[in-house]
Amino acid sequence: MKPAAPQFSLALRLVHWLMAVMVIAMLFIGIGMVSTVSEMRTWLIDVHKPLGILILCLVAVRVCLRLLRPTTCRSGRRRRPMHRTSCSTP
Amino acid sequence: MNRITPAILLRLASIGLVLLTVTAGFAFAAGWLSADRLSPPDIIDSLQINAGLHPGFRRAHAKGLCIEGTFHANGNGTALSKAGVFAAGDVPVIGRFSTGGGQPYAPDGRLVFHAIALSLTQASGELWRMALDDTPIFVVATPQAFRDLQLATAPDPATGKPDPVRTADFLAHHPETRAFMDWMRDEPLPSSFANGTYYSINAFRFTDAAGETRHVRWSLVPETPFEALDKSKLASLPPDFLFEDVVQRLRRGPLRWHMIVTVAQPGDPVDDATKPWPADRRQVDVGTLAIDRAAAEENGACRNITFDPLILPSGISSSDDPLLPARSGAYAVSLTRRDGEPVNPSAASKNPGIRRGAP
Repeated sequence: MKPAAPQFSLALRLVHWLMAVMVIAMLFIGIGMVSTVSEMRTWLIDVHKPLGILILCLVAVRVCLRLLRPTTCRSGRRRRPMHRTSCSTP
Repeated sequence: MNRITPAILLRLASIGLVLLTVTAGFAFAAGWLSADRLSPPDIIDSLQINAGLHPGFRRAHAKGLCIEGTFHANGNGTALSKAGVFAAGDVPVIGRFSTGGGQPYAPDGRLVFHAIALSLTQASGELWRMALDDTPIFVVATPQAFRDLQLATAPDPATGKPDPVRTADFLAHHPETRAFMDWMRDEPLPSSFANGTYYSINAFRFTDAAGETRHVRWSLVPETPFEALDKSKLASLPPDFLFEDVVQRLRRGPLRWHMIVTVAQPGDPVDDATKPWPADRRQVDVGTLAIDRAAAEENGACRNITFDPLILPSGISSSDDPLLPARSGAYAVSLTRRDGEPVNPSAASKNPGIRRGAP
């Protein structure tokens, strides 16, 4: 029997998928900007830098969300503080 | 184990398709699918083919000397740009004198092309980096032409000299390069780093506090009176004569240049560094650069600075000149490569007359 997956709040899930898109975009922007001497290089660096800072800010938001609203198990019980990464099977 | 049903195959195929699309997109972004995309490493590779590989040194302007000093702004520049560096007052400067080419020990008589590179740190902490040459025009207009020039004039392994046919072929397609070479041959060249005028090469944009943007070029005009280099005696001059000269001058006192900003008129070429602007353009003296110290790169502060012309404070920005992003990218690659290589002594540190620096 698989352990029940933790339930994440809507806000955490939104931030997670937003960051997923942004981090993957960063890979594309990063490899693109070092591959060309055209004006695209300048343009991509100008996107790369603020996007990286934004991702760092979202990490902070994510930590705060997680601390403010601990994830719950499907059973609805809050997990014990020292066992935050998985839910015990009922 | 599950049986492989058509439904599972379809799901696996969709996963594969997504992975393939993402990988193809990444390969496209990286330029792996575009054989003719010119990358910063391509530029540096062409310099290494032309000058040979000299580990630990800059790939261009390899022979140099660290300098330090102060830029004293007189306040006139604030009419053109809101950059803090133009507000009346002093900002510290770290810089580098260099000769052209990629050979760190070549005699100065062969590398009569002088350059000065500067990094100004304004009060806000923002940096203004620049690398200026002593020619008002550049040798090529595009990164592709720059790479082609390096390859066309690279020494032929058989003779040790550039292949005259390849060089002639390049010049036939690049009248701007021929014009540059004629200029180098016909114009009097400065006899010293101290009495040379240095030019920004590319155009940039200055934006003032009201938000108005103008295209500009700038130059550093020496207070030291001009003296011409005797081009007929180049071969007999000591190998480090330019560097020895400037260190001796700095031991006697600071050297000064006026920063003169030239404002373009509509229609002036702002994306082509091979085309000069008419001489009657508005010029503003924005302040004085005083260089008062010099040190071999081993002892100086300039060695690990990339004088990337696109490191600019707010109020100064790039123009559409295609050389600028290429310079920025190539300088970064040059730093990455030399940073990972063993350090070799610079020509200045090997010369007893220069090693101690100045004052």
